[in-house]
Amino acid sequence: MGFVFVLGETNSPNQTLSKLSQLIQIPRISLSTGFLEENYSVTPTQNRLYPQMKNYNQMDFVYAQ
Amino acid sequence: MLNRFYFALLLLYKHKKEHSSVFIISTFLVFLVSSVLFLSSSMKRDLFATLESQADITVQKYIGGRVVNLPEQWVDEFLELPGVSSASARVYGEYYYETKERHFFIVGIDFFDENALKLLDDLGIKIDIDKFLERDSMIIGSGVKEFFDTFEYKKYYIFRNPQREKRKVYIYDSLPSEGDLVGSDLILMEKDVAKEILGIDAESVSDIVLNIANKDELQTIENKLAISHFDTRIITKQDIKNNYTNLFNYKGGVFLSLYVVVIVTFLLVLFQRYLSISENGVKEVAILRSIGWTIERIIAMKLIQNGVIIVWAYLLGVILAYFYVFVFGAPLLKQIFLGGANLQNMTSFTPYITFSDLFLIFLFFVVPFLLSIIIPLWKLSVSEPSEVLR
Amino acid sequence: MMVLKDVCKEFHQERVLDEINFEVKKGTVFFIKGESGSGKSTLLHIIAALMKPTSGYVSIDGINISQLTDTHLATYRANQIGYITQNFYLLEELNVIQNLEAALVLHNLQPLQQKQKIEQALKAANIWHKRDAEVATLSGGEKQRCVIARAIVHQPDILVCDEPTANLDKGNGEFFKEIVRSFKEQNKIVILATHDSFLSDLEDEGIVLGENVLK
Repeated sequence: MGFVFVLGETNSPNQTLSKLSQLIQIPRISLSTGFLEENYSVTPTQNRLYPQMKNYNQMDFVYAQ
Repeated sequence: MLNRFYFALLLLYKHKKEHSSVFIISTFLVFLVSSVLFLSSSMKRDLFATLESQADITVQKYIGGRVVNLPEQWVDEFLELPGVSSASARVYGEYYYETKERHFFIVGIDFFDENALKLLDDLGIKIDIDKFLERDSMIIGSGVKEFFDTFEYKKYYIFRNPQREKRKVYIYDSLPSEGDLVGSDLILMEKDVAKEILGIDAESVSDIVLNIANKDELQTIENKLAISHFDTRIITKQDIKNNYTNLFNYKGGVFLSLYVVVIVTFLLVLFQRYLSISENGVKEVAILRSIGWTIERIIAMKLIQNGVIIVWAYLLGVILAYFYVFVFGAPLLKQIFLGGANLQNMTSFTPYITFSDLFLIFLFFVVPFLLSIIIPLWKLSVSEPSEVLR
Repeated sequence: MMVLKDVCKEFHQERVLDEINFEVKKGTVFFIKGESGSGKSTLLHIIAALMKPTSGYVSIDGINISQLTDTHLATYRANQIGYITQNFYLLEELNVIQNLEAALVLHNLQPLQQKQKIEQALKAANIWHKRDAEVATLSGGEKQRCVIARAIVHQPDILVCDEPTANLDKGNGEFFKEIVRSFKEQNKIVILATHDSFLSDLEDEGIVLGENVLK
């Protein structure tokens, strides 16, 4: 933990996080998000957060052809 | 000019008691908003940095509004799609510890994969593959370790699969707490063991991630994937980025709205305070005017005084926030951002401050502060000195 | 020369000063007399440009100061007026020197020059020995002398005095008299409102206010 007042991009991001993320290949935050927990978990196993089937319209279009 | 500062500071020093409450409250407010901004931008940056190493597309199977497992053979199928440079299956899921209502996040890893071993090595975990596979083993996140320690699971833990059959898995090592933002509740184990505990068929996986060679083809490949299997849900890296942004903006926004309410109240109090300025304050202005000070000069002096207060409060607030967040790990505030409902998260924050954060704090505090005192100051200064000096 | 022409002042439709007319030549000590409530202080405020007359005007060397803007009036006060107030309008939390600096700060003097002027004024008002004392700790007489020193520190052209010796003993009254005499010698104007017969030998000209006011 640096005591230096760091501004901008000079301080590199947390390497441990980056390695761990590459290892598990899952974009996730291990947060239990308190009062927002029900609606805002970013674990991909929970469905709500992700945009719903945005390709439906495109699919219709493809099949109409 | 020097004289002007000298006098402003001299009077400020002499009236230090009167100004100290404003200084303390101002410092606290700057500290509060800075802490929130520092915390959220540090987390945001770390998470966005981790996102960069993620696959471009995630494919999930989606039935009746729920994500379900998909066949592993889809991996080969996707690899044949032109434009897809790599595809791999993921095995993961949540495991509930019912009695305490806590959940762990199990991820199946291929421990024969050299890349995975190298990454583990970088994380400070040396895997002796023979020893690791000799009996079922796992690597646990620091939150899980703390939880297991509390319940005396020092060597192993007995999982139960959905059929309630026991499966003993030995603790091999634990992940460093610097990775808590991603891995506090994480359990890494061999893919097959993970499948068994999570109740995933041997031929199925949780989902599949793809990388594409040319980013411009993203849309085309999304379409192809959608055509190949109707019941898929396709998540791009951009979608996830958007979700992260939403999450942080939401949490940060809640804070900022609260902050705005507090600051507006404070500034109103300040405004009132200057409107009904003390008898001494009125007398001071009248005396200065009687000996020839212009209204502009008096306002300038008051602005210098308040400017000094607010700039010091700003600097002190920001520095305190820096120490609070990046040195002491933001106790209390961290719980609100990370949540305390599941496992303990020991994450620390990488020091990261942008000029835009600092500017935003300045804009949110220093500017309204000075604006809120300038009108009462002006009203005070233009009153005829003779009204007081009689 | 100072000219007051038809100067009237009303407060809440009550006329306090009514058509005051007089002229004061340079080098004159001009007395304003009258009973309490006759409007002496109000007239001094108008002369010192702290207040504007309801009608009429005050002109100094041909300049109508009653029509100046706030900024110009402030400059006029800073350069030409030294005002000895009846009550001690001082910055109580500052020391004696700092109170004088508050007046001199507007003149952008060199530090040495500023120091000399302050020393001169404090010695003339016989308060030099208390120069570092906080005003709040001074006695009434000392405060009065501090006010006198502040009024003369920038060597104004017009000295306006409202009961300047009310809090002074005889010895310090002499110091004040000496100041007035030196102003006169320098061909400057001194306007004095006082009941104190001790000062009456200074009078060159004067006006009695009660007699001038139409009731």
